[in-house]
Amino acid sequence: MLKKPVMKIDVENVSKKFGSRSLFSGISCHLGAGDCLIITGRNGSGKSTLVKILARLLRPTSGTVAFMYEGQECCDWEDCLSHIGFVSPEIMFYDNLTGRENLEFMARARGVRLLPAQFEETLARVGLDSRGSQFVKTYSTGMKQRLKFAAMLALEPIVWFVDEGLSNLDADGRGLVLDLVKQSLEKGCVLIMATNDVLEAEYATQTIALS
Amino acid sequence: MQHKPSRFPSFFMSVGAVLRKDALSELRSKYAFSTLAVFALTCLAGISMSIGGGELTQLNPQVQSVLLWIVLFFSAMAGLGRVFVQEQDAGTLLTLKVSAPPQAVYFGKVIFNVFLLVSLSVLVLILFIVFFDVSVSDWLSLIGVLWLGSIGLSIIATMTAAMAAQAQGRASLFTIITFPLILPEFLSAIEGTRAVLAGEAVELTQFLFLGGYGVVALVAGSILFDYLWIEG
Repeated sequence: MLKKPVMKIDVENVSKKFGSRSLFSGISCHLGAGDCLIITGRNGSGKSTLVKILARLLRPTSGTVAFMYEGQECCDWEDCLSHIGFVSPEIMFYDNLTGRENLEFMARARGVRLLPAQFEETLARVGLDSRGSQFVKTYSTGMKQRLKFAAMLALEPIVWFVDEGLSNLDADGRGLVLDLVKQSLEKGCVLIMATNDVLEAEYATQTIALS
Repeated sequence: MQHKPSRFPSFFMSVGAVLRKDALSELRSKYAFSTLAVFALTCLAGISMSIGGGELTQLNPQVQSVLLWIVLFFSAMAGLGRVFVQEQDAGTLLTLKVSAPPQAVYFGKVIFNVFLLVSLSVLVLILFIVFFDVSVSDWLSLIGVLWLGSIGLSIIATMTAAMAAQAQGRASLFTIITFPLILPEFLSAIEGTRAVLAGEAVELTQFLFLGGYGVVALVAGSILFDYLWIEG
């Protein structure tokens, strides 16, 4: 199996405050190829916020998050963006585009040009092959969740950020996602998952429990 | 999966993807253009019908020029701000953030707004000539002023729309922060249009100012955009 280029993520003493309310503080971890960080915690404990901070989509109040790609630090967001994939309940698709057009947009926006057959193959892998040409507004929440993972497959990121990855999925879908998680770890990807699901937590090499 | 090598540098491909996505959404919803067009039509028809045909042709070029640009300005305010607010409201802002590099988003949105307002300016010009019975001797200068002004207006509106989308109460904030930034370009475009309608030659410096202001706004917006894009 092809191994991915090596990405390391160094998180040092990260904290986040919203106004005077401190969400978490003193978060540190070091992740490398094949590592899976599981972030757990009750609703409102800041799991999604921490995932966004680790993905560098949100600035921490204090502390640092550094991405090292093949030994070189990715200094700006654009450098990081080309290596990350993001699945979250906050990711919404464009309702008046089809599933395939949404996927095509996400790939092209990253500068990734896929052949039509590759889009079909990607949609087929997540079980959406017959629905790719339909508008996303006709999709169920479970299908939208599958489409998010289709985007991950199309973009082939080195770092996966998955927030509540199993939510809204049926048994088939959950099995599919867990397979993808396993395969990506075998390829040497770094996984960061916010979840309270024991099935996802099985893959943890490191855990952060937010209170 | 083997990615097919791109024929284009990836930045242009990313800009194209943002532009194509917005254009497809607009073609299917027709929301922004119809908002702008109906607003322009209502204004021009309202002015034309309330003042009356005979008196309209007697309006001096200064007033005609101001009316034309007021219609364009308010149409722009009604439609151009949507490029980011729509993403915010539909919840797709995060999707855009994790899909495209910030500069590709900025330039994609600018180009989309420029197309939108330049298309609208053509429609407004036709309606203006029909309703106001204006005779134009120097079409090239009129179109030059109109398009340069529209392009500048679109660029500034895109930049302020990005700022406003990050804030609460964004609809009102968009107009408030756009107005002072747009004023120099707006006044210059009015003066240029007045000169053409009065049969005078538009000075080269006028064109340079209109174009230059747009370029400065484009560069300033590009620098600012990276800071706006990642949340604090």
